[in-house]
Amino acid sequence: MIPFVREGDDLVATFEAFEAALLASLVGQVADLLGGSGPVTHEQDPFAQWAAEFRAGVDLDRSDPVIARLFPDAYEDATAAGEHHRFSQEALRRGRIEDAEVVSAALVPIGEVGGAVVVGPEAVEAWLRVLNGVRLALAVRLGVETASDYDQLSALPARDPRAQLVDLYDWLGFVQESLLEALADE
Amino acid sequence: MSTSPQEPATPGGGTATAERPASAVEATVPWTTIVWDDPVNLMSYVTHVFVTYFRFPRPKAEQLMLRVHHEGRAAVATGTREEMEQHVTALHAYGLWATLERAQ
Repeated sequence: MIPFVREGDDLVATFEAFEAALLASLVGQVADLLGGSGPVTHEQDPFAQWAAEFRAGVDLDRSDPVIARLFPDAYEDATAAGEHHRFSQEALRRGRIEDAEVVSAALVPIGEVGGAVVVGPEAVEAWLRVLNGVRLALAVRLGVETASDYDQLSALPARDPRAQLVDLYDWLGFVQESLLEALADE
Repeated sequence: MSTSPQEPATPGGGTATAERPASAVEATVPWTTIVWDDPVNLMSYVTHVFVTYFRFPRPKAEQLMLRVHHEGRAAVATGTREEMEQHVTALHAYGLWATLERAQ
């Protein structure tokens, strides 16, 4: 991968084919975990649309620690936290799916041969949120809860099955950092 | 719904931040948005979110990010419960670990 650099308003990186395919796969896995785009409804009346979306909301499995991390409790009090989830979760979920679609759309065309990814100003925040979301999901699966958890994982021998995931996690951090650096380079 | 929490909506003009001088109004709206440290979110990303969402100047955003990092948590905004819920939801959309509680 050639890290992101600024080219005018755009941020441009070059991905090897396997990197693009791998990232697209991870993004798709998180989107699937969130129930995908779900049923689409189109109502004329905005309130009816809102009500339809509310009903159509996908139930997320909050016992999955990845879901719990992507949709954290807003309150210490369980009842208040549950209320908050009831009102905010579906919009957050849809937002994450929409972000994932933006990133996938850029990666799928280069999944076979590799090539340049051009992130325009309208797509930067989606990219940052998606890269961050995939890193959060991976960190949960790896059991990273503290900085020292991560230090221990970094020291694993290469033969440990988790070592590859740790490499992947590091790489995603590198991609995200490179996007942030290119963004700040004005 | 016209506004999605995914959009980095600018907080309303009436939103009080932690550094706004105390007023009689604030005494009646004692809620605060807390951002917690976690080992995954990049420091540069947390700063970016504070700049992008709250429109904080970069030095202030960096200072708050460092407070989160070193002290484990930082209060980033104070205002009504409704406003703080909106902030917390927006921060969750970015993947930050945020909660709201009554201001101390």
